[in-house]
Amino acid sequence: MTILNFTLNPEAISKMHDALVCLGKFNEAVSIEASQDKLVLTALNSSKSAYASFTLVGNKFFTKFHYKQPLVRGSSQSREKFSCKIYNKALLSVFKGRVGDPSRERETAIERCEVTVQDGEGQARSRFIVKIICRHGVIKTYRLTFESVAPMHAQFTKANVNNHWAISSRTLREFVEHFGPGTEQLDIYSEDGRVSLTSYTEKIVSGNEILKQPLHTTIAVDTLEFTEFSVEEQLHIVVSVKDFKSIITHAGITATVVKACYSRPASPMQLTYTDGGGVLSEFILMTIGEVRSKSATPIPNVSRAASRAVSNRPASRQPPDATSNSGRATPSEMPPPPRTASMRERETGKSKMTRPSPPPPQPSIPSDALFVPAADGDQVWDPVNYDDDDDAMLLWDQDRGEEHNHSATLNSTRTQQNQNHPGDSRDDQNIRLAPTQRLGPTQSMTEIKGMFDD
Amino acid sequence: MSTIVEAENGAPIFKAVSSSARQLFQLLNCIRFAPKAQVQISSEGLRFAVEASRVMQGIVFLDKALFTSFKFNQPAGEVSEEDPEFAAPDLPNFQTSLAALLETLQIFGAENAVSNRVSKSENDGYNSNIRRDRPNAFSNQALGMAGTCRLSYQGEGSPFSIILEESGVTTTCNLNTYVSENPEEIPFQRDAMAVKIIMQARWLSDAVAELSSTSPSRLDITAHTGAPYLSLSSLGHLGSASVEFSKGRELLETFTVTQTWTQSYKFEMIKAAAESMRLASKVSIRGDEQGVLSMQFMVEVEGGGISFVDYRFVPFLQDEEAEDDEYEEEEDEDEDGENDTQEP
Repeated sequence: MTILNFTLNPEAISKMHDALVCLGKFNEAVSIEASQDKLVLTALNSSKSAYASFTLVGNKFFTKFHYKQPLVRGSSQSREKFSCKIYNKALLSVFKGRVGDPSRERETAIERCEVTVQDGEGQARSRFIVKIICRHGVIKTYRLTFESVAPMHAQFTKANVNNHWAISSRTLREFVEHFGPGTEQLDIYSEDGRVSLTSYTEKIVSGNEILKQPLHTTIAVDTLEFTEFSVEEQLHIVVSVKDFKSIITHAGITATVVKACYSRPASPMQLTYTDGGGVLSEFILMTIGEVRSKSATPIPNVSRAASRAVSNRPASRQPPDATSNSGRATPSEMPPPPRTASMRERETGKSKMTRPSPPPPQPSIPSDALFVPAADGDQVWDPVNYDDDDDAMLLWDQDRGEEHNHSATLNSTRTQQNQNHPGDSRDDQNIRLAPTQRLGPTQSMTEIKGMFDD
Repeated sequence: MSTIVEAENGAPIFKAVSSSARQLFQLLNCIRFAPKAQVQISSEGLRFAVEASRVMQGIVFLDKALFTSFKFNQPAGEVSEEDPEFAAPDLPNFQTSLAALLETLQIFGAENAVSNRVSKSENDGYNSNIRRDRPNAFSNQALGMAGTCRLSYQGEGSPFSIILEESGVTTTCNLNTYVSENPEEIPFQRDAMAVKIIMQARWLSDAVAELSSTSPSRLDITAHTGAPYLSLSSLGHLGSASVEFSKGRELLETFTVTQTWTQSYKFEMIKAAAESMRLASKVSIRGDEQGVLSMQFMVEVEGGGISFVDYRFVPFLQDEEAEDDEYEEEEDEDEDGENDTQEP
């Protein structure tokens, strides 16, 4: 029996395609949820750290939209919603970029697209049927199989959101284009009316050569560029560059205003925008739990060689010596007190352990309420694999405060790392050591010089 | 490879000059699906035949109109050792590497087509101009930069040589020739034709491109006596897809079918003809009672008039009915598409 049927015009097909391309960057499958007045396409990534959803408003996006409530199996009650899951690849091949190619011949242009979803018991075939009607009566029919499964939605509670900003999507896309392809994290930080967007990574791309470190890029923007800006000063929020880029690439297609809301590190960030044509886009990204000044992040060493020379603006704010490598890791720039205060309350036990690890948020992050399993109980947070280098960092973290252990650990790490890349490890130690005052900054300077002399 | 000194053996059997290698490349590129081609030379032109697994065959005829000069000296009195089954036993014929020939022809000028071919990807929605191999304003051809291409064949045992000249650079290639294998042609019963359709090639191209997105293994072609007149369908692991040409009169220039005709072919084979579908202006699709499919493409190459590229396909055995239910009868859509004037 036909549960849903809707019609799209060529413009909507193209929008559908854009949305699918964007969803495809999060998950290989798309969850579709239909209700009385809207169709919602969602995707949640495999580490459940990013969630994308597009709400297509029934009477605005579609030329025709009709949803017939299906009956719940075995009873006479009807279901509010119909949901299914389809491979994005299959949908993309149906809604491929047909429109917007001016060189394409007009004879095969699409007039409209009719989608019917059939589902039912027994004889009925459950298919997602897309009928594309082109000129001259050429009809292309796709019958896609789908999986009847309720989607998992991420929830974002606006209640304790204290930070929000909004900016033109085109402007934001221009910024995002500068972020290097190898980088993993994006740090958003504001101070004195300037916002710094820094893309960096905590990992070496391959091998131990310092030049293989991807570009560390910082873009400093005046808050006036934002249409709305209300963010706690000196708050570092870190999200995945890849996810952020995927979102902004889509947002940049139409000139709109992207709105971001977040509270603090390790809590979700919400990005929303509308295109005016009946598509509401919402993304929820997990932000990475704190933090830099304490947990010896190896990033700074990246920046030393690369970002110094390359990144445009941040240099002016960076003290030139080895202790202050990039804006974020520097104690001078980023005094620990405000954060530690805010951190303490949340940082009980395990969250400490996990903080330096790369993008995927850890199970222990106090955000369990973020993604609410729809029905089944098997949708739990996946355990995270810690890489070797993470272990090393964890070690340092654990040692924090235990002064007697400290030097021993460092030594062992040093010997270990020196074999591979002496420059890096020294940097690490400097960063690491700066707060503890074990070694003065000058020491590392000499060591670095030694490296170059070699 | 040795240079051929024409004076030694008298006049060569065949000698031709073309103003550009591009047209030759475009046509031969259509039958790229096999490494070796049978070449037959006649006074009317060159015939290149290619076959794959004895179930698919492609033939390109390079008419002498494509060349600015075309000289063919029938080897008089020479005893032909070629298989008498070949269309004209006395005509010189040989086998040569098609891949090498194409490689040679694209040294100059034809690189546009090649780069397009390489960069073509199924999922790339942004690059879906189905007519991309047509000449554009910036092709070498249009800019008058193309050089000349000379082909010659001295006689049996000698290489097939191609001399390309462009802006002072001359490339000479001698391709080894081999004794013909003369495989049997796929028999097509002209007198027992079950279906005959002539339509714009772009629609076929579009339909095949559409279906290929489901990565199917088989392509079913069905011709109905009523609407939908012609339908192409396929079944992939993510679902099925079909393209129907339901407004027969507008879409199909000629449509003759006595009763519903269904055959299925290996999708990859049909897709091997995709190059021709893009290039051609019209296609004649014929099927005989045994299900052998003949597709004849009319290709208009710039400056060379009309050329034809022929394909023949052997169908799958028709014994499985299992999949039929996937393709239920589609009700005819009544809709008001604009009618473009049909070519005669």
